[in-house]
Amino acid sequence: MATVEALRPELARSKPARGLWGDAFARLRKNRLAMVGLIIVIVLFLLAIFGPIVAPYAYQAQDLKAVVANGNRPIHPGDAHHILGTDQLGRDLLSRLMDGARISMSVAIVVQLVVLLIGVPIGAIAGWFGGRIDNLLMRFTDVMYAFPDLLFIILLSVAFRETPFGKAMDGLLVVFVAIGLTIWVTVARLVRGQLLALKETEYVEAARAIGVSDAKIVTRHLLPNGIGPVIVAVTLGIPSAILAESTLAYIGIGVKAPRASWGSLIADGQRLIRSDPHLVLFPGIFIAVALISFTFLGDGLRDALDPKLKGKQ
Amino acid sequence: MSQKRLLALFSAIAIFASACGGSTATQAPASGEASPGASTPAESTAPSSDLAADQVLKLYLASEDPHSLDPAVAETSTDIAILHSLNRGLLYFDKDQKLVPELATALPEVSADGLTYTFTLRDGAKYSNGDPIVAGDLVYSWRRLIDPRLANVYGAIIGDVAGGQKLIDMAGKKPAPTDAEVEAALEAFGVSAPDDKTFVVKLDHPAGYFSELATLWGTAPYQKKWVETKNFTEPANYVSSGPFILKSWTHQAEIVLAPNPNWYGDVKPTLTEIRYHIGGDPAAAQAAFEAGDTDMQKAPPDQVPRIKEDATLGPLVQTIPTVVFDYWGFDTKKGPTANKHFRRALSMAIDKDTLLATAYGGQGQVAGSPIPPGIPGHQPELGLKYDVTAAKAELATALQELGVADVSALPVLSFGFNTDAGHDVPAAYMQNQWETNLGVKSELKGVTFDQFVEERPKLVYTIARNAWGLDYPHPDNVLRVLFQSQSGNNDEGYNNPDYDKLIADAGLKPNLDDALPLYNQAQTMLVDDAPAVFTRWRVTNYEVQPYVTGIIPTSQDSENIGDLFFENVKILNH
Amino acid sequence: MVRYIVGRFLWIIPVLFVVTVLTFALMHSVPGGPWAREKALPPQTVARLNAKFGLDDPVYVQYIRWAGNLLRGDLGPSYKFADRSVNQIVGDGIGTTMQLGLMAFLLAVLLGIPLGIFGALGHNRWPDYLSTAISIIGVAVPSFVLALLLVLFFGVTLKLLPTGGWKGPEYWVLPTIALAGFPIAVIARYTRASMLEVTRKDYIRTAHSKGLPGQSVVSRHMIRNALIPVVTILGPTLAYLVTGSFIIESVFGIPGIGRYYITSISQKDYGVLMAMTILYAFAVAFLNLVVDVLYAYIDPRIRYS
Repeated sequence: MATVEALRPELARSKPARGLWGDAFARLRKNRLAMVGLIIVIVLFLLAIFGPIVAPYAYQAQDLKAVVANGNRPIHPGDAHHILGTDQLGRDLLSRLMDGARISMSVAIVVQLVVLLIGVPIGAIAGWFGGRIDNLLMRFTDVMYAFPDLLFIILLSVAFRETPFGKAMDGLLVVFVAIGLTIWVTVARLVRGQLLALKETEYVEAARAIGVSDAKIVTRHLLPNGIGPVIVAVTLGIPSAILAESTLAYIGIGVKAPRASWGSLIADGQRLIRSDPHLVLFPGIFIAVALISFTFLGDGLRDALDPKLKGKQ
Repeated sequence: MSQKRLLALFSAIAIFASACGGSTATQAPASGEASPGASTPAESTAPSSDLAADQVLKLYLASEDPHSLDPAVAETSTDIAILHSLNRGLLYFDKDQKLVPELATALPEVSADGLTYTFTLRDGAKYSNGDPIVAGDLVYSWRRLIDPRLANVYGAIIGDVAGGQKLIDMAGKKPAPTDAEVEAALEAFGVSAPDDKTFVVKLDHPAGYFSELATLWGTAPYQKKWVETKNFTEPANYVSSGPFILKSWTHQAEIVLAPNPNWYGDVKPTLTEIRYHIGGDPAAAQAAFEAGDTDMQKAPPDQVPRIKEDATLGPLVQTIPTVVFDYWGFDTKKGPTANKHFRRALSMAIDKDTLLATAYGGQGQVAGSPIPPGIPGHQPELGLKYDVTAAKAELATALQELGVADVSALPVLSFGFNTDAGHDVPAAYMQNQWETNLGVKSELKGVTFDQFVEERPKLVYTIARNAWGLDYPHPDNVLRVLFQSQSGNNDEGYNNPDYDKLIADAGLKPNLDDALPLYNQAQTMLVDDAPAVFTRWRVTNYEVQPYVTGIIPTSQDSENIGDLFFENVKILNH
Repeated sequence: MVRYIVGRFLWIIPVLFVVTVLTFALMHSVPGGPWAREKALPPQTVARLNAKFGLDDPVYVQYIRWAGNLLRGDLGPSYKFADRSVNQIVGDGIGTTMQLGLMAFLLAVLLGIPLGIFGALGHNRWPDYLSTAISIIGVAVPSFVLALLLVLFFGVTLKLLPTGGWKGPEYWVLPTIALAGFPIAVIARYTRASMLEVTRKDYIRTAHSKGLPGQSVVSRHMIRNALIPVVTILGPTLAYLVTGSFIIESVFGIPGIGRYYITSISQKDYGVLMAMTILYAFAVAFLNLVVDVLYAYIDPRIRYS
């Protein structure tokens, strides 16, 4: 049965050559969960771009009258004016979450871009060429690995404080890049491990035998085959980047009050978790939804990019 | 992280000293009658039959170890919380924070020129190791506190003593002075012990607040041979002069105190053990209290509204004033805030009642001036009141003087604070008030604690968060130490020669009653000049199980309610 | 193989050298020093303290002094805990931290790998969704929230377990769970992804087509191959766990060394910070070596020479 399933789509696919990525997208469209994930991810990005325009209030607007009328306590969810409630200054939680999408989405993109742009090439080069180059690059990752992250991030943001790079995105860009620089190593080692295993396989040897170039083998065969764990690493890396951002915000690096990211809303809200749990709950739900969507999308992408699964589903 | 005990600084001393001549006949400040209030048993003393068999008090100390239990090195509130039980100096406080003799037989005799303080030691006072406490030990401990080679953080606090300023300056000398030079300077330092029972201090200049310093942990007596023991702050070696001894110390986990069998004080401890749990943040400590693991607990500020409403916890709450106050200092040297009317406008445009009720969760008292309640010189009525109309009038004057046509032409004010302690909420509130009430725009600049404390004195911010906790209950510790123009703790660049003169004159009065009118005048001038917005006198909310009795709360409590007087505490049957 | 291991082990020395030199230089270039207080210390005191600890020497002189002391086994003084040396501070806490880290690691491996396999075998059916849901919760709930919720539920509401401290086995339960939460999720995700990858490999299909029974295929081929990428992340995960967690140790009041990662940076306690750096660097470098050796053991295609 398995053999038949494996063979049939190969025959079906052999006619139009849409290329790897075209095929992948066609397959992705058939994966319902992945499409749901994709739609939510798109919505989150739209929220990041247009959130502040459609939000009911400005993120820093204080409704002190309402808080005073509420016995000086944060307003809880279900209120007519503040559907998700407010903090102790009457700042609307929904509006703050919508504005926070901007920060949390940019941390997701910037950090993972750094990871992919540095981690994947270095891992691929090390894994493919092996030998001395591999040794050199892996020793370099050893050093990066062994570095205390927090100090590195603090230092980078302090060192570039007065430069245009340091001031970009309200000082956030340098922090995001620094977070990315501390975690690309994991992906590099992962890619290398995959390539080391894959390059000995029959189809690579076959490709070599018929004179396919190294670059082509890596990009057309090895990367697509080894991409599963990488995509998982990236999708899992997004929430950890969001949370890393919140830890840093807590010690004064990154997002600046009165703006807030989802992570910093949780860090601030946990002090009131026993009396006003909504301040932790809703940012947590937003992070979880973002994570689920990225995960579904990531799984779908992996399936779609797997050449051996062509046409499945 | 425990709140740091704030350090008083004495860089003003040199100027202060040169400004003064001899002075009037004197007497020790505060309560002349030496009623040993510290030893007064608590009102609610229970008959001994009600006492629990198990006299162990279980407490949370802090999220981490004390930094040091060496009396000369200790500086944080956590260090001091333990040292209050382990070591006692010449003088101490009663329940109303009036000075009372402890190791001394009476308050010191002060010479007519206000320069010589003579203390007489009690008979029969002993350390926990059984050795007698002699005046020579005080000479040693005072010299060690200010020894420039040790560079103790609190060393400068006794810089008023003759030769003190020289020793402070020696610390900064390059190349470092030789041991012989240091020894000679220490020899010349104005402390001496004519006999085992007499300790004499000579000052450079009269200082009405001086007796207060004899209550501090750093000026308590201890033996040279103890300090020279290896690992002397470990329980096996620790020699204490107070009601308790250090029974055990599991680092970063637990400190256990037990009664000092040789304690000379009138009130002997009833508790057989004080068990301090170390570690865990305040929220976790609160959970531990609710689970019954501890007997008393400092309520985490964010949880106070919930705790007060809670049916079980609410009745246990005791609200105690503290010696800490919050203020937001202006850059008085440059920019629009160099203008007094602009500062007054900003001060009057803040509805502090709502600030306290919302941003501070209703905890504390709205402040109009710096000196907190319970401290001599406290003026409850003083302060610039919330009045938008008056604030607008002040703003109009300010704009005219600044030559600015309209409020929109003002630069955006930078509003600095450290981000590790929830200060963004009151800052956002004040920012909003200025924008709403006056149209003045400001930008919040939250940075790390390190960066903030480095930048604040350099006037990097137009307005900067600040707070102060008194080291001794005396107006000098606020008005001179924070706002005198030469003081190292003046973070606003505030400089008013009239104010400086009042403070200097007040310091020369050996008697607090004579000095108070001058301090009142100075504080009134300060509030009128508005170098800062004084927002809040803090309080601490404690939850105390009803079976813990004999607690004497004071505004100087360090980490737990009544921890200045744990020898009075008893546990009832429960 | 032995030569390879010895060579790699020796390579740890230059790694530690580079990491400590860089950390030392970076640490000293961040503004602020160990004497920053809410209120500034007298300048004379600061000058003396700097002189006393040699902080006014050039940074390279300080490094050489530090490295020299390190070779003699002396990690130097702590600026913050004035009564104690860094050796005492680290020595007191490291056992507790490693014990907690190892327990959490075992829990994470014993739960995470089966959870991932379980999810992969039920791909796109309920076991998969369950496995995914658990790992999403594990990653999305910050550990400080998870820790607090555990304390509130098991400590305060049920009064089943102690809220904090480290005095016996009953004190170990909640911190271990809280610390393992995130690694469980990560390991489960990697295992699941890797399993799915392997499911599609030609040799598994071959095995199936040869008529090998399902169970045997799963155990003999899939799991062994699926674990290869998982092993890659186990090294750093273990290094991260045994060197301590600031948040877990803070919330539960555990006398370990994890707290110093944050406090030594924020309070500029250089000696403690360097000790933490070298500990962490050694753990990472050593465990990565172990991982690479394990690679060769699990995956016969890889040969080291």
